[in-house]
This record gives sequence, structure tokens and C-alpha cells, in this order.
Amino acid sequence: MTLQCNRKRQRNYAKPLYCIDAVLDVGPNNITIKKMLSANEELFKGHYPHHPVFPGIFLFETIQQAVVHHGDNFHGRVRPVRIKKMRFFHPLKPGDSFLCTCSMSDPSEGKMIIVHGKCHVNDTVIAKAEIVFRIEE
Amino acid sequence: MQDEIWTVLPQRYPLLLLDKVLSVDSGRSVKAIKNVSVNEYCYEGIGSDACLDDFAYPWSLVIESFAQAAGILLYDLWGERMTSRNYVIMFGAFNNIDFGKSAVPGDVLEHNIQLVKGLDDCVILSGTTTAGNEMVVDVDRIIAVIRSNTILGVSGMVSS
Repeated sequence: MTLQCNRKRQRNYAKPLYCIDAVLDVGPNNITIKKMLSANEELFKGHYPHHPVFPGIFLFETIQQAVVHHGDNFHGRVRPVRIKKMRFFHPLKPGDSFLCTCSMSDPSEGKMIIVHGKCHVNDTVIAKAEIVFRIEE
Repeated sequence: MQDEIWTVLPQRYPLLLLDKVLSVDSGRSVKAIKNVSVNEYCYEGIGSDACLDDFAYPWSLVIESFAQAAGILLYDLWGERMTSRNYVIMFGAFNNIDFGKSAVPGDVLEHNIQLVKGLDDCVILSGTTTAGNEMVVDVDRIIAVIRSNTILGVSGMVSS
């Protein structure tokens, strides 16, 4: 059985995946969001029990949610097609906060968008990525 | 082999994302599964107007699950450092990870992983995750590293 869905907006992410605390800037080809890490977050209970570290994969999740939020404002539904490359430079711990800045290309004929995302604390780059998204019908 | 998951992997709820190890070819490859259940943490709070798209299993958790399955393979290389509080395992890099069909509750994610290169502090992994016969994630390269806690300075910045 397939459920039909006519809603245009994507779902709000459930725990433990909230990755956007504030949207600082959003324009036609860019978005900047802020995420703060609190020791109270559930995910730190399991990653890791004796040594809390923000999971690197959630930096990808943060970039993705920023792009989805941007898509809600400009293109509609978007979904990731390929991570071309992503590099992780520093771990983050409770008490840190970081900005995620993404710049998007204009949609191609195949409705693909190339996103350059960067997570950073002040001038220190935590991770950067090049990810291809597709605009869904 | 379920015991192995608990003893080898340092992750715990809500981020222990591996259910069963099917086979291990030591130092080479591993096959493991993760069942996607509607009772999982990431589905909390989804409203009654939800549709199947809302239940798409988050891509980031698919990749995390893939990496945890690879962790079973890494125990031969990294041993008890993996669960030691003095060490931490982190992603180093991703190269060309393709996304296919979204997994939804009821799907079984099957990870097939090859160890491309295994070093004392760094590994290169490759493989696929499927649900049924459909590709969910195809990984060209994931690089993971293990580091001593002592290099993690104040505010999580690497001090050396």
C-alpha cells in the first residue's frame, strides 16, 4: 500500500536529529544556520557514553537540513543524490556551537543543485562538503 | 554474533544502529543488518497526517549504521582501543556516496562492506547498503580514523 502525500513541505525532523537552532541568513543561492550543542542532547548518551562527541555524520545532516530549509523557500522539495566529497577536520563536543554555511548553484536542466557546505566555528573549518541535490516534482 | 556488537562497538542508545552481524571475513569484508522500525527514536513526534515520505529513514543514520557495521571489521585492527574511553573513532572523509531508494519502517538494511585498506590509525571502506534488492546507499570510499583523546583540546578543537 502506498500512502499519498500532497503536502509540499518536508517533515520536521524528529529527535535526535534537530540540527537547526537558528536560521541566520537565507538568500536565493545561500543559507547560513546555527547549531548549538548541549550536554543535555540525547544523542550524547550514546555517542559516546564516556566521552561525548558530536557524530560527524550529523554535520552532513546539518548541511542537508539547511539545504532542505532553503529548498522550502526557493525550489520546493529537495533530496540528496550524491555526496561527491566531504572532509572532517575537527570533532565537536557539548558546549560548542557552530555555523553551517551553504552556497547553491542554480538548478541545472536535470533539476540538480550542487551545494558547497561548510561547518565552521569562527574561522576554524570543522567540515566541508560538496553534495548534489535534486529538486523533486 | 549479537554479543559482538555490544562488546566491539562503543556506541549506545540512541545511536547504536546495528542489529545483527551475518558474516565476517576477517580483515576483508562484513555483512550485517539493521532493521528499521517505526518505534525508533527518529520517528518520535510524527503527526497523524504523516505519509510514507515522512517515514523515510534519515540518510545520515543509514551511513552511521553502515560505518558501525564496518566497526565489526575494525576490531581485528584496532582491538580494545575501540571501546576504550581514551580513544575516539571519527570520520575522516567521504568520497562519492550515492543515494538510492529511501528505506522505510519494515525494511531491513543490509550492509555489505569491504575493507579497502586497514592501517593502525586509519581505514578505507567501501560497500553498499540495500533494502530488499534495491540500493539504498552506494559507498565508493569512507575514511575513518581512531585518535587518542589527548589530542582533543578545549572546546573540541584539535590542539596538535
